[in-house]
Amino acid sequence: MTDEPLLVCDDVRVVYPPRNRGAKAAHAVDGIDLDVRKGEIVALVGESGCGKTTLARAILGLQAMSSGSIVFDAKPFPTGTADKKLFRRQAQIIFQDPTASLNPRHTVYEIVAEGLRIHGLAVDEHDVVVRALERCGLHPADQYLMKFPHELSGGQRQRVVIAGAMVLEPKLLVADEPVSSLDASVRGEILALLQTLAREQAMAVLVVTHDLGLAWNIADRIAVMYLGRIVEMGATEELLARPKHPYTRALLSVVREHRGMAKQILVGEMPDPTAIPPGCRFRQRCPLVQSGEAENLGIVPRCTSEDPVLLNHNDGVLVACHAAESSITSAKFGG
Amino acid sequence: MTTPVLQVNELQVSYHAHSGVVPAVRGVDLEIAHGETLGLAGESGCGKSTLALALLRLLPPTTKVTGSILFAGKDILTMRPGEVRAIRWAQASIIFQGAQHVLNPVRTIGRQIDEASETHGMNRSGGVAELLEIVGLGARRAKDYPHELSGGQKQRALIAMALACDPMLIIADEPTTALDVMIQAQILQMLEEIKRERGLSMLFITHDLSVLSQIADRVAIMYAGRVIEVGAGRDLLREFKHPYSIALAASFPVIGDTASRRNPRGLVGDPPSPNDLPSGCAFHPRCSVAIEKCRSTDVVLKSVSKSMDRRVACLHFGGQSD
Repeated sequence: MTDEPLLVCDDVRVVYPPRNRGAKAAHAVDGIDLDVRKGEIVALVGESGCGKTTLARAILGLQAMSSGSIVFDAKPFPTGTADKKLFRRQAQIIFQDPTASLNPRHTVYEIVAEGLRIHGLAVDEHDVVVRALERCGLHPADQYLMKFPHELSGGQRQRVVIAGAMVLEPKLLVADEPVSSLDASVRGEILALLQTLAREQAMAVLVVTHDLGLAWNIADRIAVMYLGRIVEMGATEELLARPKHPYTRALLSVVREHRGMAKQILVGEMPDPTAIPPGCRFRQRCPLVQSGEAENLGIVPRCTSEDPVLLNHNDGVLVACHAAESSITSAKFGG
Repeated sequence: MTTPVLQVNELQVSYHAHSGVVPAVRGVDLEIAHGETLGLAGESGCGKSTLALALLRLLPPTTKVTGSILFAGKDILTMRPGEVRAIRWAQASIIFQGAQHVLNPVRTIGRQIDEASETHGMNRSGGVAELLEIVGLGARRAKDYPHELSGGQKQRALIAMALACDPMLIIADEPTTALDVMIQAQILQMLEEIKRERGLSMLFITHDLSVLSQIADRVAIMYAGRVIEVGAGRDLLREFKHPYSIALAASFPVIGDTASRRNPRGLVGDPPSPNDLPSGCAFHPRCSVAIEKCRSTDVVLKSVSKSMDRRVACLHFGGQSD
């Protein structure tokens, strides 16, 4: 991993216009600052509907931003046709369900070679395809080249999908729930592959997932999203060992892979992005508010009226919470 | 000892396919006592869903099912169709996975719950409104159509439906798999409460071992159509004995455990296809402690300790068939 950021998102917003008269606009991504460095694996963690997939789509140029800016490889987001084509080679995406990603009538060879042909890259197509497959753990590749997706297991299919992306030597790989449709025994192998590829190719990887266990397995950094906003972000070890945002704490407590934390089951579901509450967007479900702890800290008026911003804590973790903020202040002033 | 709610003996299920007879369940014995939850875990293709469907004779008629399935002492496999229908839903109901595919999109939730109790000729649970309250949806949701509910709410509606006829046993096939972790936790907590209040028995089927620590009294692990390890939930989940269970458990990360940090682990190879099962112990080609004898010797469940009611099908634990 280098310190050089490959991808920098600055106040990215995606607003879907109201569906009909009287309806409200949906603020799916509501001001995101995020950067991913070369060779780094960042996990974007959140529940369905938090906007994580919309953000990933915006990063790839598959969804127009409403405002904000994205810098990729030190250049502004491409607008011209040639620039866009180059970007689409350099930024690849893999999806959750490998079966749905693969054309059932194409052989493994055709699937992996397709990107090369589109971008007019391959001098020696056969060689490049074989190398990509073997790098993705399908060796000897000759055994797989002429197979169809239905002849492969779920894990092998996902390897083919990854090989199809890797053949273009991308600088950024966005992986949207890459293992959640796979069995546990296969899951680990695919994650190990992503980790190796990120290291060896100095490729930046943004993993979109709801799975904190996955983040613990492979991510260098974690960004936790809630209702269109990052509420906590930092190095994996630090963030998972000492989560500071009450939402992160609750999420972690219900992930059964995590031992020795009292369960904190939040009431209700995440609000709609058409109706983001004023003040702190998490406050209606916040255990600190419900338990009266926020009252004791005297921050309730701020929770109700003031949207918390991401603030840096001493350990480098960024948190958007008035309670966490007041604990920094009290620590500073010895209170 | 009282009769168990469900007792399955030597259950064999095979599908007839173009390629011949495909054995999906190969001799399973199970028992569920009153008020007990049995967790059944295994990866896709291990036969766990086939087993669930076989219990209420919901498989296609061409499927061959042998053995016995005693429900409150009576064998479902020898009953007339009318008798099986009387048991379905009224005594044992199923919560399927993927709530969005199970609900009828053009009928209201309330209508669909009513339908379940009407079809099966009884309604002892005080109507739709009460059922919806029990599952935390609120009575006014009865007028909603499935598309007006979130995934978690749909799953709650399915649970209400499963409770409509006041069954003794609920078969839950991956009821929380497609849901977010927070919603999963909510649903599991609710299922536990309902089960406790009503003294229900439950067969909880999942691919996710970690769910079971929360809900199961006893746990059975399946591989290639067989139960390969069974025992008391807490005890079993604390220390697996079968090499497959151990490897499967190791592929679930433990947050905070440095051994799994930057070190995701899986299991080499793929689960065997039921068309083409390995000889001897079906797990031997993927097993790290397999010995020569494992290739040729079929293994059966054997008790490894009397006090803990743990049984393991592995040669290393004396699981050789006599």
